[in-house]
Amino acid sequence: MLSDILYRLRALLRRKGVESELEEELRYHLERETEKLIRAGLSEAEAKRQARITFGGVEQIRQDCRQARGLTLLGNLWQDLRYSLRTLGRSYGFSLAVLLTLTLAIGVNSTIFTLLDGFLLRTLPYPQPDRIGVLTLHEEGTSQRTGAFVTEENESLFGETWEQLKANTHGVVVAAQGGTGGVNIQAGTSEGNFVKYVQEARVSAHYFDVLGVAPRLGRSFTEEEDRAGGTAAVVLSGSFWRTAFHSDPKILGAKITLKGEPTTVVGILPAGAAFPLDADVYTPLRPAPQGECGGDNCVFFLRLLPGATWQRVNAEIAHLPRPSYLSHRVRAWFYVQPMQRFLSGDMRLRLEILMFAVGCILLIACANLAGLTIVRMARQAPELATRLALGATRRRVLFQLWMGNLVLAVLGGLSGFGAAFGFLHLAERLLPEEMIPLGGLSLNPHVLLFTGGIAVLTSLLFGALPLLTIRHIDLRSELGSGVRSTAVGSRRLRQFLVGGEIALTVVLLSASGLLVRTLMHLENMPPGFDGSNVMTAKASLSEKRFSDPVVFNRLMEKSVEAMRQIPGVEEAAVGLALPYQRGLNLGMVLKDGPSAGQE
Amino acid sequence: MGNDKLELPQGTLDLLILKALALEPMHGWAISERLHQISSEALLIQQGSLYPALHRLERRGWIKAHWAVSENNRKAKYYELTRQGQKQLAIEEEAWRRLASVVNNVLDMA
Repeated sequence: MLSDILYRLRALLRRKGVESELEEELRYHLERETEKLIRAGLSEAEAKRQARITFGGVEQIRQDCRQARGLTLLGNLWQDLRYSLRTLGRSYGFSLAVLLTLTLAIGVNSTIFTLLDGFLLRTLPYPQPDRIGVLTLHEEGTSQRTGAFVTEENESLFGETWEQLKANTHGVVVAAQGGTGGVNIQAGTSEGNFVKYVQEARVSAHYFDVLGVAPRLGRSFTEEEDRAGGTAAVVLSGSFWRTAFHSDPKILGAKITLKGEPTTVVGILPAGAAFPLDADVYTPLRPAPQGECGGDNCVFFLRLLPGATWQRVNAEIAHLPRPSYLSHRVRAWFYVQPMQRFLSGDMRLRLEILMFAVGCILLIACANLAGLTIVRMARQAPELATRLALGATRRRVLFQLWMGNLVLAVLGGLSGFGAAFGFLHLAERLLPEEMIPLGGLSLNPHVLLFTGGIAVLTSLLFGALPLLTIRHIDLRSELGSGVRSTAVGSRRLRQFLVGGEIALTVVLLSASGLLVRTLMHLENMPPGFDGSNVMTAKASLSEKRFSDPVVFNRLMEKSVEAMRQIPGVEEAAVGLALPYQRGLNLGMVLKDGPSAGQE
Repeated sequence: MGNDKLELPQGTLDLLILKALALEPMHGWAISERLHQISSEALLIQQGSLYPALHRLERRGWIKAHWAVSENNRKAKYYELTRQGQKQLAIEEEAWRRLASVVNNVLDMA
């Protein structure tokens, strides 16, 4: 057994030498036989002929020897590969068409799948993510206005729920997440002072414990800092620490000015960690029924402690008193939702629809390619017939054809992957924030596997279908006739393919056509104001000194006056939000139309 | 050339090659001539079919090959039995004789 393997290996490695040796061995035999016959009295030409006849078919013998040496399987594979590449190169129009089609189809599929994977499949980048949950309030009742039965899942809850949650649950660590906003930071570094406008997120103590991300330096907030009136503290995100403070560890424990107040830097997060709120700095939330969670804008996370189970926690949660603001007509109860589902939100439906759409594109591509392949195969039929006549086994010929398709599929898969890379870059720049999953868009092993899978699948589909119809190549008719005739079975298949393609295309075209029209309408709809020649600027005024109305009004007046003085400025104004932006909790009431009176 | 040559049953070519090589190392053509001689030209063996058999036996490790200068001053590939090959020859010879006698018995009984 071992010697056999060694023999095969040696034979494989010294292939050229082995081939020429075989050549020489057989030649020697023929020479000796020829000489013998010459001595027996035949002419040289006749002797040569006789020698060959008694020897047998030299090519066949050579092939048999190779097979006896066990070289054939690998040797055949290599030969088939080279042959496939040559034929693909010769019909470069076909190859190019196939490659482009595959690149597009596989590219968009991989892109959408990356989105899907990021939201629904990829495990969260936190330790034991199945032990993290989000407190959710389920409300149901009959709407007074419309009379329909509505349900709602609400994760944004009030401070009174926070108190009850902390008091009535065991076996979990709880944390709260508040809102985000822009704030002003003033700090000194080794390179001088700077003032920056950064994103701040407010989170409670234990927030990072619940997620399982430990600060790289320092600590997270203490209970004392998380209470009203506690010491001002801030945790920096890793990337902000790197860009603004140049990764200087001395900033830990130092004071910076945040929102106009001296604040101590108590911790620095690891760079590259992903958080639900992508902020530059984090400050204590101090959740309470009055104050930060006085409105329903806090989200509560829970992490199971070792040994606890969701069953027990859910039982405790079910007993939480319902919020007092709910009308008695509404039935409501609390439950814990897995964090992954909370983060993907309503993306699920959109992603499934998108995946269906690109799946249709892939099917259309396959149908296209199958059609192309059928035509090509009909054209190749005389050549195949000749090779069959020369002695190639039917199996080998079919295998070679299929290998050609496989090569195209592999190349198409690779270039599709590259295209997906480009599409994802575009997507990251163009998509709104809520459509980018936690941890960003990246081509990970899942996507690689998926891309490879669909590449092989498409090669099977568009390779196998035509092969099924051209299973019988009648040698005589193919070699003899100059007329290209294709079997009836092939024609039915082509009709089916074309019909299927058209159906899918119509579905996709109508859906995307509607979407495009909607977009165009939105673009061209008059906004109700003239936004030309208007410049806007944003500033954060969440500083203590501006909570005094006198100071605040004076700031407004002086700013507007100063802005009016700038040469070229016609008029200046200040507001809480721009038109069509949401300013705090002030809603708008529709004036007229069918939904008049609605907020 | 007579038309009454015997065709070789499947697998016996290996046995004959091993037997031929048991006497002395030979190259392919010499084996062919030897078999031709010994069987008094009664066996119908296509000469070329020796070579796949030789390569197969070599792969199995029952014979081994080396290149040497032959009797007409040209390089030829010589084969010789290995120790394993000698054992295999004995086994196959025994098996063949037993088979022949059993078949004879069956034929005689009929």
